Amino acid sequence: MALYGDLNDFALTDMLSMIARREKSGTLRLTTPTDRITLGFERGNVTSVGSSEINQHIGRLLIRHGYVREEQVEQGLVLQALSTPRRRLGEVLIDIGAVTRGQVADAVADQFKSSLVRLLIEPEGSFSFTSSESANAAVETASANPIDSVMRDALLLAEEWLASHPTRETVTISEGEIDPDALAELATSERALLMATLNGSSVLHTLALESALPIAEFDQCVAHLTALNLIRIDPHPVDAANAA
Amino acid sequence: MFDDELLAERNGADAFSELDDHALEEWDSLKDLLSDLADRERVSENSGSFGVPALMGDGDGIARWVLAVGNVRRLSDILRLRQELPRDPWCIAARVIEIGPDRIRVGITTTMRVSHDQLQERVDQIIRATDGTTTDLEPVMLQSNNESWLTVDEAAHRLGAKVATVRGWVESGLFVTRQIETASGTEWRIRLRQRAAQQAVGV
Repeated sequence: MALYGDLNDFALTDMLSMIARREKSGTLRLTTPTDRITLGFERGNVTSVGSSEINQHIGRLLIRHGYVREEQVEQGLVLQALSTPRRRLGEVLIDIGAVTRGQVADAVADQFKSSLVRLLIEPEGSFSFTSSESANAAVETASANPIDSVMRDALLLAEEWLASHPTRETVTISEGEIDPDALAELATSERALLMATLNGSSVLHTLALESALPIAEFDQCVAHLTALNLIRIDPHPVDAANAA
Repeated sequence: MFDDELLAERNGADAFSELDDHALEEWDSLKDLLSDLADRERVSENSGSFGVPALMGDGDGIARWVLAVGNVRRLSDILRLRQELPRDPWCIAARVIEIGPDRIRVGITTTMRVSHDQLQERVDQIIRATDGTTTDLEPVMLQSNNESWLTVDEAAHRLGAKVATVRGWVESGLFVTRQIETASGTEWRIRLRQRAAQQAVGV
């Protein structure tokens, strides 16, 4: 069986629910403007996950999590370039003791969750599901599956976000002059949000995901930054154009 | 969170990068850029202030700098700095690394082909320092083939900074230093790399 279509027409949550309910085995491929996610299913359970974004940015992800320093990633890249056959960067970094296998897994899990939440909030792209015969009959007895738990968290987070932010919004740095004392007034989490915005985060829900703050706290920080005239929140240009 | 076995290969997907393509692309671009700069330098040793800032012979290194901007009046100035600097051929990346109560620090990674004064000039040009906005640029790490001990004069020449400025950096402990006895008395010798390398600059 093969099923394909647009994520705008067929919600990802419905797709996942259908695969789980019918205990399907196969591969679900999600293609978005920025990522290609591949999910492997065995009798309705997720058994593998892959993401082009994760594959391409594993070094950056590990730096962002504070697991490695940039110099170590550079060293890893040099060693990777010298390796024959070419080795994976994550493995090279583990081998030189820069990072543990668990830290790589943590970074990957967090990024995968963020990718899914983004996709649930902003369903742009297409999907295809190709079913296959179940290769492992024992899977159905497997207990808590860590990938399932990440997916469950992602679904809950997306639901919570959409409940309080029904439309997409962008965040931009204000053009105007700022109060000389404004920066001194900021809490640590507000500084982090402002820094992420200065470094290029421009979509509000992406900024929220990067911050890892509870949604209510994130909203408070954004409100304070806006009140200080440091940032500006606007409707997403695509949504605004559609509304017009 | 993830079990390694569960993350293991299936349909070509797993937890690790097949290879960090994007980073590798950047690395390759950097090598191309350095090679290109070296070729251009052979043609013209002194090609003007920013065409090819032919400062040093060993252009195969990376320099990291931290720019502290004080009395920030407009955040959009910082944004413009972060967006415009990487468009210069010698700039690899620029990223805000700290927002303090009275200043914002920007980490800048460049090739070794730009001097301190040239970079400072470019920064001031972008920020168009007005209303008392201050900029203070310090080298964090200079990674090149030459790891020798330098005199203050040599370090100043290498960094493209004034001797007095380098003395200030030495006194503030920015570099690994040692004192040696010479015929003309005790002199400082500076290593441009190790101490500074301990300060990570996020890019």
